[in-house]
Amino acid sequence: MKLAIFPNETTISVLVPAPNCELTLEQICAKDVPTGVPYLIIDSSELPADREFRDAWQADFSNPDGYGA
Amino acid sequence: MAGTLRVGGKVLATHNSETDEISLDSATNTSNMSFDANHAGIKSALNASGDAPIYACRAWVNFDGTNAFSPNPSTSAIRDSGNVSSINENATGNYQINFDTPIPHDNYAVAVFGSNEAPYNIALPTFGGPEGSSPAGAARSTYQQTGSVRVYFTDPTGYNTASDRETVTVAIFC
Repeated sequence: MKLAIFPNETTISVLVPAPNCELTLEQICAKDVPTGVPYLIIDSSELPADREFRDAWQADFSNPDGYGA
Repeated sequence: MAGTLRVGGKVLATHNSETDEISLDSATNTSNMSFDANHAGIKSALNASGDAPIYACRAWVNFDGTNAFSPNPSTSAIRDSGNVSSINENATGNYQINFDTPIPHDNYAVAVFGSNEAPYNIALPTFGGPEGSSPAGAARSTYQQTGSVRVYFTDPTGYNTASDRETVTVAIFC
């Protein structure tokens, strides 16, 4: 399943699109990712399997798929 | 006696003689008609008895705030929803619900429920705010906006300790 991640103040946020939303994931990201914040579209399998250190998750956003509009 | 209301040969409404009800045709343009949400007929159809007025739920969602985000969910963390475009999981126990169509104002009421396996059967949420400033059960609305609302769950056994919920339900009323 495709998700999006973007940086927040301390770690990363995971954006999960609503299955019944008619917008594309890119359109949802443009709307729901904070303005100017880069995001990456990933497969859910790329997320760490262990949530024990969830609040320490980091990612490289130097080559993003887009930015919040 | 059953019958139809026609204008220029076009059916606008139909009368059901058995139930004595009049139904507007689905193609009837209602843009110039006015409706009362608290009309006795509408309240009866919604099983809303009594004199208290009715107000609508403007958005709702039921999602898994734990392992549905990882590892490798085959189905969405969002079990079902209405007028929700996405949810952001910002950190442990910290979720933002994004509305597909904005709520008319930000003074809406938020009904939130979160549950886990025992011993955390029920936990009250807090709204907005950083994790380090919210005792279990406290509520604030710092991030209550027309486009989104943030809910934050603390561990009921530990002050200022965030914790996930397997079932989170949120409903917006105004």
